[in-house]
Amino acid sequence: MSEPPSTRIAGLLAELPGIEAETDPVLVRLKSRDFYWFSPVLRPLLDGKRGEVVIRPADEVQVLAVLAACLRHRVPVVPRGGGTGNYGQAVPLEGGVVLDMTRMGRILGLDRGIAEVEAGATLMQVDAWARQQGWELRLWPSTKRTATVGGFVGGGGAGVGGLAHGTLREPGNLAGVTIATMQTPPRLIDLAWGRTAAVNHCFGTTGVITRVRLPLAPAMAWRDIAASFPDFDRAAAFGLALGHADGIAKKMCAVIDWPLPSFFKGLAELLPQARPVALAMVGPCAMGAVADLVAAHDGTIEAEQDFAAAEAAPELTPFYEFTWNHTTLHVLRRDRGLTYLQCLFPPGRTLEAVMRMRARFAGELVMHAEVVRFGGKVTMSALPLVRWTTRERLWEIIAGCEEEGVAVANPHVQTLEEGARWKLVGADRLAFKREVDPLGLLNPGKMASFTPLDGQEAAE
Amino acid sequence: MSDIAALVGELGDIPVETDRALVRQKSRDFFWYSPVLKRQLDKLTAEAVVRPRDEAELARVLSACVRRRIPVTPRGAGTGNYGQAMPLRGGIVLDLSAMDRVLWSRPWQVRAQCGAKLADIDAATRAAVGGELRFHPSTRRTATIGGFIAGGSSGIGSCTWGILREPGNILGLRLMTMEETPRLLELRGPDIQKANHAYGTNGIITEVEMPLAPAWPWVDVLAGFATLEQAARFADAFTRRDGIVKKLVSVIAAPVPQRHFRAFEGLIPEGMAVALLMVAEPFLGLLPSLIAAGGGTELYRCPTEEAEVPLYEHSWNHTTLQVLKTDRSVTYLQTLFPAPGHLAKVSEMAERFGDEVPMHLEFVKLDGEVCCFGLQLVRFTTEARLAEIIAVHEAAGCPIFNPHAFTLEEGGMKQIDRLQLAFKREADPHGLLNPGKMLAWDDPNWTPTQSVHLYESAG
Repeated sequence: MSEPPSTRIAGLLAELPGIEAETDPVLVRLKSRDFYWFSPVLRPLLDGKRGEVVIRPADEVQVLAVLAACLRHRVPVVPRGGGTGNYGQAVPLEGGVVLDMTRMGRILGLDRGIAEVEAGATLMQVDAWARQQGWELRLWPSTKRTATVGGFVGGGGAGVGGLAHGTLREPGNLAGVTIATMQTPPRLIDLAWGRTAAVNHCFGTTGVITRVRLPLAPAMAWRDIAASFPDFDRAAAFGLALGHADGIAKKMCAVIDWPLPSFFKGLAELLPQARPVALAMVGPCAMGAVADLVAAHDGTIEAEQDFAAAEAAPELTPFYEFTWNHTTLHVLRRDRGLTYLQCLFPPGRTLEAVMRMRARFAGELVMHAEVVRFGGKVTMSALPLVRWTTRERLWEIIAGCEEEGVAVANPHVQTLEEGARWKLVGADRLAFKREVDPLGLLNPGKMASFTPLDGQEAAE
Repeated sequence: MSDIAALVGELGDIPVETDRALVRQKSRDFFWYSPVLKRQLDKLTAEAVVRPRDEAELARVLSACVRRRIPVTPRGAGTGNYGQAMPLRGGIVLDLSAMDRVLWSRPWQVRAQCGAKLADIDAATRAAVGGELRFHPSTRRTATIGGFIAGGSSGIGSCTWGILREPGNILGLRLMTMEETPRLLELRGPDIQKANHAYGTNGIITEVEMPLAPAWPWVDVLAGFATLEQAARFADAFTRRDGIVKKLVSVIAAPVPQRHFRAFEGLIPEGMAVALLMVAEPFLGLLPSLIAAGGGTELYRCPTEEAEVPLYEHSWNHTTLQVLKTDRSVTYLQTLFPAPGHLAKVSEMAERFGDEVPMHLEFVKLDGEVCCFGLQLVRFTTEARLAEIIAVHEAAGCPIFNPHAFTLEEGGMKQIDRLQLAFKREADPHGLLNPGKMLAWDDPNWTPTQSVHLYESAG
């Protein structure tokens, strides 16, 4: 038995005939969640949170109509892609509308290496389409199959490809976005290149992303390789050396300490016991140089496959689905007593910082690092698994990392400010928010330092 | 009958040139950029130029030369700057430019004969697989791939792909040995370093296999900055922009481009330092804000293929050439400004030498880090002063790959390359290949008693 929608939602929906909406509480609850349950801290905070209706616009005209109606009724709107975020990016804190963008999945065009796609297209869909024309995505999250392009821009931004291109925030990795605003009346705005910073990783608080323009990379038939090493030090040194090897075309390299690889269903069977591994995607013509580099670090290549073939075959898993937050997922599926962190090690003393962190928290932290380029330098970010005890202990560990010079993007918080390196949202973004969403109806509560105007001020 | 005449007789229909003027022409490269090398090497000439058309002919040439103990100096297009292709001890120049076929292109890989021109390889791979060579020297239109590997090290593309020596930048080399019965060897992986940048002293490279980079539509962009420091800071930051696809980032201090870049005459305001960029076309939209943020002004923009004189022909050692066209009183240096303090060292040296050593920088990746090479111009006075300038740079922590020395050891290496020496013993047991260029062959105990001894020999 479904309970009837509230009067304000009923009024809202009455103004939106012909637009797909769902009020069944079970389905609405399902579409009000993401992967925040990775965090035992967020779980109790977000578990009961849900929207009141899921609206699924088919095009930009419908998005504008929904936003206009929500504005009139003062109903909050939380945009949602694949719901693969880990910080409750897509969890509505104040009810209202969940704006499910997945019907808007059209690929609009390719112009001189830049693809334009609707926000609801999955990264897998875009990559597959691009590959047919000799191109590929520069970056994708480990959730490539289900995550949407709009969600990746709004709530993600790092992942596979980071070893070649940095993050989505690196200039050149995002050519433009089109957003629908919560202004009176709502309108579409195009933001090109640097101006995309106003919406990039803002959880949809500064506009609903409707289209994205992505610079592509020429397609490469990447080889997945899994190499094992006698100890973590040598695995990490290999990863960093690979990162610095500019002559080797590469897309990804994760360094994962034992016993985490034992959780990798489909790969663990091929790996030796008790040996840390590196999982990498490298250009086929670099296999010789990579094999030399593995051997130089006393490693052994244990498995190798074509990543695209693995992506397509139901019985196989591309190795990137064991990296980034998929590492965490594989472990949490079997052991809910663990959680994780997100760290960035300082370039120049990457390995030293990794080792100090491992030593300091030995016994309660298992290292998982991703070799990345950041600000033009090679370093590692990390998503280590941490034995969960209490929030206090977790915060102590975070403080300890920061003492070691390791930056932590805390994944156990739900606001943009708490998750940011400097614990604030920049003045330019706040100003942009005031312009495009003066009433603060877009994903309210996530940009905590924003104070909405009241109706009177907004009217002025 | 002289040895050479007998050799020529033995070679049958293999093309041979013995005209003295033509032989002398093919016995020279761009060594004359250096007044020191000019003095030392100017009179050198081979006795004949032999131009084999395939490996079978090459084998006959080498075998005959081994039997007669005739020195062989291999040559591509002769675009080197250290006398790499100049015969110190006579004999024959082995002109490899007829072995110029592109053998195959696959996605991200090409295999070509040693004498193929870089520009021709690029044209072939662009058409076949949408790829191009990762690097080329500024002499792309004339230089050969074999010559680039044997005598070069880096170039346009190094801001993205590092230098030729980095693993993965050469996939394979096929070499013919200098023995009575020449053998063909395929070097792959770490073995490639046995013959990479060995000036052809330990085998004749006959084929190369190279990785390819995506062939983007490149656009030349010239930006001006009020000061050298501003231009260098911009160039450093730009090279670090991993989201922007690029192939060239050079910086040249005033007044060099104003006085000597004829293609840009009147375009560059007085006093400005310039940054020379090659950027992939889709990323041009980002440039105005980046250049403005760096305090610069865009002065020129043109697709590389459409430019009458491409920007890269003003970069690397073409910068020097553009100046030498009108001013023969200059020479140049090759300097490493090592990361991470490279920009400070550039400023320090620029301040110390001022107009005597006008700054020219090439931003590159080296060992995975951004830094810059200096190909500074030097207003030449005496060899002693040149040695002093070099010594000051080295004392300040800026190593010089000395372009005023013609041996492997005194140039970049500063030490004996044991791997290359051991390989020479195997592949050229009689020491006939490009003799005199590998010091260690003649003196295995050679130590760098400073490259200064070359200057002491000033006559």
